[in-house]
Amino acid sequence: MKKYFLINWIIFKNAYIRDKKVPGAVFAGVMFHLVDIAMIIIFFNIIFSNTSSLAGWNFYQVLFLYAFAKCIVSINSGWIKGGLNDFATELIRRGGFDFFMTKPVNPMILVSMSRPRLYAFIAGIFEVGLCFYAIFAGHINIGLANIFWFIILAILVNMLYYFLQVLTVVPAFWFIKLWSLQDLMSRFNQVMRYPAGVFPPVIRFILMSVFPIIAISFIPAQTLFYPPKIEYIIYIILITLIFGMITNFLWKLGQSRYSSASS
Amino acid sequence: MNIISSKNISKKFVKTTFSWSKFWQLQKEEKIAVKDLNIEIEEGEFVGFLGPNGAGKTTFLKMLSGIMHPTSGEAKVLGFTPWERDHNFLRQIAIVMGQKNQLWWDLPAIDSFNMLKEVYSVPEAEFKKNLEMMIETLQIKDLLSKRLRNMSLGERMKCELAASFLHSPKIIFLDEPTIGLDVVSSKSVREFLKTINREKKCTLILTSHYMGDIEALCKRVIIIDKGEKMYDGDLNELKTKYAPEKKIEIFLENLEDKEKFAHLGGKKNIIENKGIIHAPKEEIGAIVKDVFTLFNAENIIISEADTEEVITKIFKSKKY
Repeated sequence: MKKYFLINWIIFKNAYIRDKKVPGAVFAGVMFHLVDIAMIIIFFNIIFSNTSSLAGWNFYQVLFLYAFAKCIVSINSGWIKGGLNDFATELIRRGGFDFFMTKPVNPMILVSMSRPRLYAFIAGIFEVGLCFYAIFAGHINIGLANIFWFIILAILVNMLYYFLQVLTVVPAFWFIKLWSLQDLMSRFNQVMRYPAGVFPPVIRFILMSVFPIIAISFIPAQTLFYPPKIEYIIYIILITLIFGMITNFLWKLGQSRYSSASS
Repeated sequence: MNIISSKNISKKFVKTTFSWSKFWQLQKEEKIAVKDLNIEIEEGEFVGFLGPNGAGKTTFLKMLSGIMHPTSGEAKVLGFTPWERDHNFLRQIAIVMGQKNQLWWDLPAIDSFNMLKEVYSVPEAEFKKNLEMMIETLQIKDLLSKRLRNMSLGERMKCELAASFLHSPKIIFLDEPTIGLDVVSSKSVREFLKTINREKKCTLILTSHYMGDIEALCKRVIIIDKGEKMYDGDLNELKTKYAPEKKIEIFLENLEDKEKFAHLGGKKNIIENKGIIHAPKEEIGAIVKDVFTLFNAENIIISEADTEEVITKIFKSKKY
């Protein structure tokens, strides 16, 4: 574990050296995030000018849910998305994955953290700020137990989100030229900003279990605002474990099918 | 002691294609890249793999280094099954590919080296010692702080080589390490590989299309064609077997020389002012005696057949 932290630290340091040479790109990345947040807040204002709640959640709760979902996306985007995108589009197709296979580390983890995007972490700071704003402006009372379970669930859902993201790129081992794969998660990210109750039962079931993208944002937020439900906590622990095992299994299966690229 | 051994190792690539004419049936195209290869390599050997493009050399190397799984067969490298990717195995090998970079494109080489130090868990003292040796042998002191993208191809390859040796691997797989390099860079890469093989007792497996690399570095060669082993043995024996002739070149100064040349024995031909005789080794003594009687010694060159010519002849004739 210590080894991975050290590797990660060096990769981050290297990304900083790289990014400080192109401050314009970092600034543009942060600005893009902020404009996106501003547009969504305007969109929520329009919705809540016509209704007082969404599936029982008020404006500030929905705003928190959005900011929290955005935090998860930013952390993953900053940490692992660049590497996984690269994996789906370049590493397999051009054989660059060869070098990851010959290193005494887990290739899935090394690929994931190989291309960090520091601007996503900067944007994440604004999103954390938005979370706090939603809590204070909405006068939401939160107990210590809620905070404790929320933190535990937040860690678990970040892992779950990572596993889902890996699952969307694993087919590259078989299909090599599946360029659109890395965009799949971006499409699903959009449903993370709404309370689960707004979705029709069948879709809610699918997005809570088969591809549990709404569970990632909704369950921790629900645990923060309402009395923690043990069944929700157990559910998140279980699906994180299950998806972790599925991801690991499929990655290893894909690895055994890896055919590299001709020299 | 065998450090690498493969038993009937084969690799078949299967490509699945779809066509509207056979809508319900996926078409499978199969290509055998490596077929039943049995190879044994001892510790400290420097082995060259030769073969035309698509012969299966790189595929075999990739299986031995754990990048690819074989379709069938067994292999043991340092006592491990390579494709199981045991970390203790991966810590003892390195792969250098002339056409791919493992170092970070936007960063100075030293930053990539530091990352590899953590990846391979190299102790600080060993890392420093190895790095100093690389700096001295490859003359890369000035390159350490240079970004990879600002380096020439030769400089980049030197850094790639240095990166691969930082963790003191026991086996190094080299896939065309001198591709695209100029004469000076190729020479320094060869010198470095020789030094590493001699001083560190590393086992090196090399694939290259440049006969110069193979001749300068490898005593033993393995010829592969269409995935099958065609020859495995000493490079000089290969030359003796397939080119049992010596070459005598004579600079012909005038018409009189050309007339004298016509009276000599052996297979003869004239290219511009150069008369060339290919003589079987058992007849060479008599021919040389005549040559030295008729021509000035300073105008005569006697040599072994050129390795490149021999290999070309072998590949063209497909007689192994």
